[in-house]
Amino acid sequence: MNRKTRNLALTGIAIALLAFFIWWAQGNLDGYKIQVTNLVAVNAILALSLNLIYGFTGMFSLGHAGFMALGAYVNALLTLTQDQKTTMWILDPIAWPFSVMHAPFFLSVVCAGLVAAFVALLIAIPVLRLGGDYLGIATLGFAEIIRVVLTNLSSITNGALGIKGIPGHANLWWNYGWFLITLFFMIRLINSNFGSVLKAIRDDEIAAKNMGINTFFYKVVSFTVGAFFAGVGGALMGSLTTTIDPKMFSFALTFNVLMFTVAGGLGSITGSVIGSIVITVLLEWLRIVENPVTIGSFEIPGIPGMRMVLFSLALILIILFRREGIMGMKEITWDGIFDRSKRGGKSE
Amino acid sequence: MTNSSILTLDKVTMRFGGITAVKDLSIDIPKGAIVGLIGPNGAGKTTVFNVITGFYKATEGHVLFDGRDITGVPPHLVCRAGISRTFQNIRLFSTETVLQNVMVGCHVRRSAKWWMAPIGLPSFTREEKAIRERSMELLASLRLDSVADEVSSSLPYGAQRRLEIARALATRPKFLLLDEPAAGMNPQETQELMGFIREIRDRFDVTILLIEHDMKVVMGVCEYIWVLDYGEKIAEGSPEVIQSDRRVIAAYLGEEFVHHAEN
Ligand SMILES: Nc1ncnc2c1ncn2[C@@H]1O[C@H](COP(=O)(O)OP(=O)(O)O)[C@@H](O)[C@H]1O
Ligand SMILES: [Mg+2]
Repeated sequence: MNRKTRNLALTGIAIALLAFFIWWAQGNLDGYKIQVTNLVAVNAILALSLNLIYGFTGMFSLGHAGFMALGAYVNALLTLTQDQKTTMWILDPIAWPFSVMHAPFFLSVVCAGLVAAFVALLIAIPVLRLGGDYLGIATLGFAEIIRVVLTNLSSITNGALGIKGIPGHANLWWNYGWFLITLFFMIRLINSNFGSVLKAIRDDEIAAKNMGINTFFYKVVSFTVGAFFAGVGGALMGSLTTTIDPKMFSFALTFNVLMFTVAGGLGSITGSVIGSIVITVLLEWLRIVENPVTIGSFEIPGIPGMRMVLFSLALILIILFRREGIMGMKEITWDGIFDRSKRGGKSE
Repeated sequence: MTNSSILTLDKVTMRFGGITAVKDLSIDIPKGAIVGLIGPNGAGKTTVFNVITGFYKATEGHVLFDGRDITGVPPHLVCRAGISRTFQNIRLFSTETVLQNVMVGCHVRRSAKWWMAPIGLPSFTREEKAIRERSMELLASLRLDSVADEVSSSLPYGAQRRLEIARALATRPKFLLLDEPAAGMNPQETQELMGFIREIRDRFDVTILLIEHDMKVVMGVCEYIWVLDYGEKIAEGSPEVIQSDRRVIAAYLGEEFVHHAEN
């Protein structure tokens, strides 16, 4: 059996195991654990999308919350029924065609991604032309603008009241399905020569230009594709929580995604996945510290916000002692696991 | 000089604010030649490379390549037109493997589009394989095939310089610019490099312009040499002519050595 067939078989087995796990989880895990498991998948999509932009192409972007917001709102508008929309919009009646548009969930999530990607394109073209370090500030500003627009465009977004009762289509199957699509897309792209081209731009943009690479074009592509998956992640998150409002998409959300990516390892696909699992679970587990704890006869009152303090501390420790994240730029591949003797095996 | 020239600088001047780095420079490089550009540090040699490859736009004058005016054309299109270079301070894609570095060089000549990669179209896969094979051949011709899977920054200095040449050749250039290729090499590596340079010209059918401080290399491989000093051309000619040129000796060693050399 050659390596390619073996790896294909292993991938098949891994997907089958994941499917089995989801089937088992639905029958055996409680609602809270299922919710955390769902969050892992959505966070992994978000981490991968930011890794494409920041980790692989080297563009420091702080706009993820903005793209997620766009995705979440598009999905909400496309999956709510007409009745729901007319009763919920109190501040301003909902404008046509938003009142009547509707799409099946899969299509709705694709549209969410496309809208985010389109807006990303509009930002990327002028900002990336400037080159250099403007992207971080521009995207940060963009995400804030999106929030202001969502708050004020109440005939479309229901303003500060937000949207409730979004159909909770995003179950484990959908979330992990989209996660696999994202993962597959990223692996194929990054392991191709086009992936090497993105990394070349990150490593040395001047040398990349000298190699005939239209660096502006590929930066726009990377940013736009990253925004697409951020929109997808936002749509799934909105469907998962069933409630969205502009406040939800603040900088803290971007910060979280940044942390999954950085903790996992900038420039590592496996890292983004592992980072998302570890930090999502850690964040949930840290909720314990916010509850009152009884040790013997002592009662320590819960301190709200404590988990973010501990979380930030953990991040400072990561930055101090393992700046490259859990994986660095390394990947876990089938070849890496099974042919340890052969070094540097190409993953495929 | 032969009849057909591949690159012509026509009265090129490059100014940075108050400094004139290159002044009214005209050179004509014949197809298929190995020629050199020499001069003391800060003479403007690298600036000439940057003007040719599109990183700087000449303040005055024109750059003609293969009969086409490429003045002000951006670097990636200059590469596509058929010019490639190496850098004085090595610029490899440091986190990528040796093979990936060369494969990135093949990118400019490929026809597949980026979105074909995730879809995995057969034509894309075929092209990807062809690129890999060609890159391995290039590595073999610069004796780097044994380290193909090493991270490029882990290579010794001399090998990094050779890798930069391999990567430049991957773009299928007609004209290759080498900026101090022997810098940091030991005498044996330098000797090998001279062999490589001639071999590359013959095998890949390229014209080579090199900047070099090591006079053994310059005099050993160049058929024709231009000498810059303070941005101006002070001499040109065959190695023999340059070696005995008064102004060249003065520029390199100072005026007092001229008498020394003449006696
Ligand atoms: N981008 C730039 N901005 C300002 N001055 C420059 C720039 N590039 C080169 N120079 C100046 O041009 C002169 C020639 O530099 P360079 O071409 O690097 O010399 P060489 O390669 O011959 O040693 C130097 O005085 C250098 O400071
Ligand atoms: Mg120089």
